[in-house]
Amino acid sequence: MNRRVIAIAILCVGLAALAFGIALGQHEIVRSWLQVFSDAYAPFFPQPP
Amino acid sequence: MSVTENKSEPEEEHERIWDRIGRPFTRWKKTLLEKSRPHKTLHYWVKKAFEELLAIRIIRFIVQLSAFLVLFYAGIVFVLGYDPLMGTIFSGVAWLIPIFGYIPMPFDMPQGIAQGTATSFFDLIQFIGQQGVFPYIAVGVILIVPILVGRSFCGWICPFGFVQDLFALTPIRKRFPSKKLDQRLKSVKYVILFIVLFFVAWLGVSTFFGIDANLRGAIPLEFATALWTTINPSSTFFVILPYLYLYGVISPILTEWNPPFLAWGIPMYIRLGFLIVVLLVALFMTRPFCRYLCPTGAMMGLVGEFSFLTISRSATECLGPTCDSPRCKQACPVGIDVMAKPFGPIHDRECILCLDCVAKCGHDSVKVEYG
Repeated sequence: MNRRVIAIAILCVGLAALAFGIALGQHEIVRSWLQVFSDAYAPFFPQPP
Repeated sequence: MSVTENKSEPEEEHERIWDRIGRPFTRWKKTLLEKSRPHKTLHYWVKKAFEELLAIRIIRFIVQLSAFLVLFYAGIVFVLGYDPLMGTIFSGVAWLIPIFGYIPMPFDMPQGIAQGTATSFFDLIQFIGQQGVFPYIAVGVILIVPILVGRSFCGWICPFGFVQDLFALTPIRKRFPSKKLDQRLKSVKYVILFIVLFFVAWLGVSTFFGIDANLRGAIPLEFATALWTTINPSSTFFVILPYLYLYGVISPILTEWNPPFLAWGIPMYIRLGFLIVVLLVALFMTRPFCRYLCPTGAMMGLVGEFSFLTISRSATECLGPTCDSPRCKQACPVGIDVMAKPFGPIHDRECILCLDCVAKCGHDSVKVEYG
């Protein structure tokens, strides 16, 4: 099979996995692990009103 | 029929003499001519210096150094729990860190330790997988990034790759194993990858069905949480060493806080010993960890083989075996013989797209291609 076809197929599967992961809220797991950064940098970011 | 076959004996003798004397002499004369060219004015040297300044290797070094500093500083912020440069002019630069941190990067981030944060996709696969959840985001990243840019993260961003590059700068003669042994050793990283993924899947499925207690009880907590990250020399270098310095036995600032992963036990001896061995070998060989051991690179290589971004060998300009200075092969830090590859795009899963071969080729026959 053509390499380019395989590459596009892999890319589509990757995008689908990424979208599914975000839909399931897995990015929140990443966010919670990185909470230390949020804490450390909270003074730098604008606070919600 | 070629002309050489019709040559008489004196002619052949003349050819031999020409080979021994004439051609080197011609080269010498050519060098003299080049040196005496009138265009070598100040403008020429300024232009040359500018070109040298923008050489690929220098650009790569600057990118690597920047990534190293940002990621190293991210490790320090993580270890301390606050920004030590807060309030200074440099604190603005540190804004990059949380931006970096929220993106699962396709390489071993220094923060990826068992008890810490995880931003490397391979760390994510271990952390999330062992909890009995399929790591969709991590798998998505491993599929997307290498397809788009190959293993260029290994060559341009990876901070541990940069450390190995620095070690390789030492004026020690580099030694490489034979081609056969090299090929065998390169497969070790795929074995490591398989073992780690198998272990994560085993633990993840056990956790999913609630039968993981015995398995977790049989192995130290760190290995269960992230088998590879626990012993990864990158994590040891960027996180464990600062931790040890700031809170551990090496530190003058001893605190009551004593996290278990800093205890002087078997995991600590393994990770420190592993790091020392890798760094020692890096003095005698370019990128030994990337070549033989890194499962993250192995994973990226398997997908990156189909990457849109590749190195290409020009059929019209490459001299092949007749090349008088095969510097592309000598320049490759992971030992790819560029000239042994067929013409056109080179799909090699070991290629870290450092572009050293592109920079070194004197005939402009190694190029970058996309598509």
